Amino acid sequence: MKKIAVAAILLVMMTALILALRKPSPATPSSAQNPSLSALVSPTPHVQLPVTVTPALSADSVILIGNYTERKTSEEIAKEHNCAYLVNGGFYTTTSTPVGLFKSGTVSLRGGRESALFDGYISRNQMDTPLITRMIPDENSTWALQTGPILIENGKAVPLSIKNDQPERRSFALITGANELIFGLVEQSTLTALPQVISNWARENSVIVGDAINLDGGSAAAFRGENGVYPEIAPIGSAFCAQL
Amino acid sequence: MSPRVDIKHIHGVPIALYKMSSIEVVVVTIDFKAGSYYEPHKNWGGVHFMEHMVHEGTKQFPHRDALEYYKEEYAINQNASTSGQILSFEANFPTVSLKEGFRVLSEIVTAPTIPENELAKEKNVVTQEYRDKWSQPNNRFWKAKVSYLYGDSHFMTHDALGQPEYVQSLTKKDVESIYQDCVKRNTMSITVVGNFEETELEGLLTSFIAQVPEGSPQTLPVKKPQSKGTYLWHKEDMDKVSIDIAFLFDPRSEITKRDRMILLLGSYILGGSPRSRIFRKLRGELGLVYSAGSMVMFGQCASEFHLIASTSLSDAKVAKEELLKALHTLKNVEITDEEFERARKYLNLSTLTGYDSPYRISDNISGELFFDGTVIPPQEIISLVNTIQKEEIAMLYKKYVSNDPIVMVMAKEDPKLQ
Repeated sequence: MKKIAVAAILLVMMTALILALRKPSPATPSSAQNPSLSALVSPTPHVQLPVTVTPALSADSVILIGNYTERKTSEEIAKEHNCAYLVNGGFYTTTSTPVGLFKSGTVSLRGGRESALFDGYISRNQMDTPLITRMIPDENSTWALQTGPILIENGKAVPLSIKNDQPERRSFALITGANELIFGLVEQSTLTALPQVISNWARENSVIVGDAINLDGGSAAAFRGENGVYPEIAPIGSAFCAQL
Repeated sequence: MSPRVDIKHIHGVPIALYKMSSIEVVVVTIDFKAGSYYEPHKNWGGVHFMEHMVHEGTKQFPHRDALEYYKEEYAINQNASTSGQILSFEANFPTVSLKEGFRVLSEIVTAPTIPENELAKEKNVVTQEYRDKWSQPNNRFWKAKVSYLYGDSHFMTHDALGQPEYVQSLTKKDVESIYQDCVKRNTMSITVVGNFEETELEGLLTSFIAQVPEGSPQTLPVKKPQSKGTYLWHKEDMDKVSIDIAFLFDPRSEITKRDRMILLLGSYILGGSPRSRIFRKLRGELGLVYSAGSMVMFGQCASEFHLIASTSLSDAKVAKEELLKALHTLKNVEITDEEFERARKYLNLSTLTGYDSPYRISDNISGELFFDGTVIPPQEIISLVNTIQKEEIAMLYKKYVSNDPIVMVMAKEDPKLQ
């Protein structure tokens, strides 16, 4: 498991380097178009980071799509599945398999495993409630994905200590107090700062955050929606697709 | 004469005072918004352990014995408790020990030393408390129910005792840091009930509060339940079946006091006493149960209405059906004037009996002050209840108790009550 974690960290570091060399520009500027969905936030008093988010989604409008072997682009996936919004999913290994649990409908690619970095699961349970948990989700979940780290837990930012943490593109999922899903993307943030970036954004936008979790980042981070398009550089392993 | 609750603020801290001139006792409750719900990460139980440790030595009472001797000398009874959202310090003492009572509280709350040499012993005490609690089948059922109703990651599942492994790992520094997170003026409320001289009390309160650091307020998110399903069988090796049918609805903050009183009135009629519909039907007429009833609770993230019964494996299905039938009748068949008036009268009189002793008065007032930020005196509650029309009970039960029932049972075999 350590090897997988190290591979994932190396992948993240490599993609950070790629991103540093070539930062993709959003096809549609986000904050200018829809200020209610994007806001300027301050993780520290001196730095403001734009956050682009989906609207609050009910879990039954969201599906999880595996792309480990297919290697389709996020644009292709969005067209194929008629996604109003698409955000990349979790991390994958150098052999193009998910780093931990992946379940979507009847497809189960891997089981859950202990990991310090990928310490949580995002899932939709049989009551159509979205969950972010440290425990492996119930086997009856409609979809479930292991990822991490958990960024906000029960409304409080989780203190993170990440080695070699560099600013890069980050994507995340959060569950509101009303059990709605919001996916988001931050262009440049360290992982350590991400819980505070999200908390600041939530406060500015009067969103109650129950829990939030980190998704794959760097070059494998992608966001597509009417308020912004941030294409990936490296293939995304999986995608959350909101069909509105 | 109507009982009178004075609400004051000293250094921003809300204080409820209830003077009782005919007794020679004072009851003090100091509550902080702190507890295991506020310990949101992987581990919890630190606040409860800290609550133990602050009694192990203070600046002026370096060890527990010194504190206990002082308490004995002035007949001071003092205790503390930690729940999910309240860290509470209580004391009662004779009026003549007012100053000394406050000295004890002040030492424990504001000047604990957290003696390192007591850590290991107290960790074992807390671990034994953990074992005692979770050795009880009813407690294990309660834990399973909370996880089922709210989801495993919800802070409502954070029982105050937490995990013994985590508590064992805590250092003196950790406990000090937890103490600083919890004991803050911005999260504090105080209730004083009994016979006291106002000016003296105000002076004691002022100097006590001044010693508590201001800090930042703590808030819990209103996080909706993440229920796992609609049927839970919790296995315990016992020769009975405990049935608990739960309905989740809006949190306390979204239900007016009047609506809460209407729901309480309905619950009383349905299953609040041996005269209730459920008790008379399931026990008195059918002989299916030993205990049965209903209850309603108004919580931070959701309110809960429960239909409960203790029965046998062979009678479980009928008992469950009868419980649901009783609720259906409450919602759909008009309550008679006589039943309504009897229930309302009982509720009004029991509101008064809730003010029967300084201890219960303190319990009631401190709870209201903590959760609602204000205290409604019993006469006002009675006036409010007297405005209720009987038709409103069915109306509000249809409005609030309308989600799918979540049936939870504890039994050695699954009675299959889905």
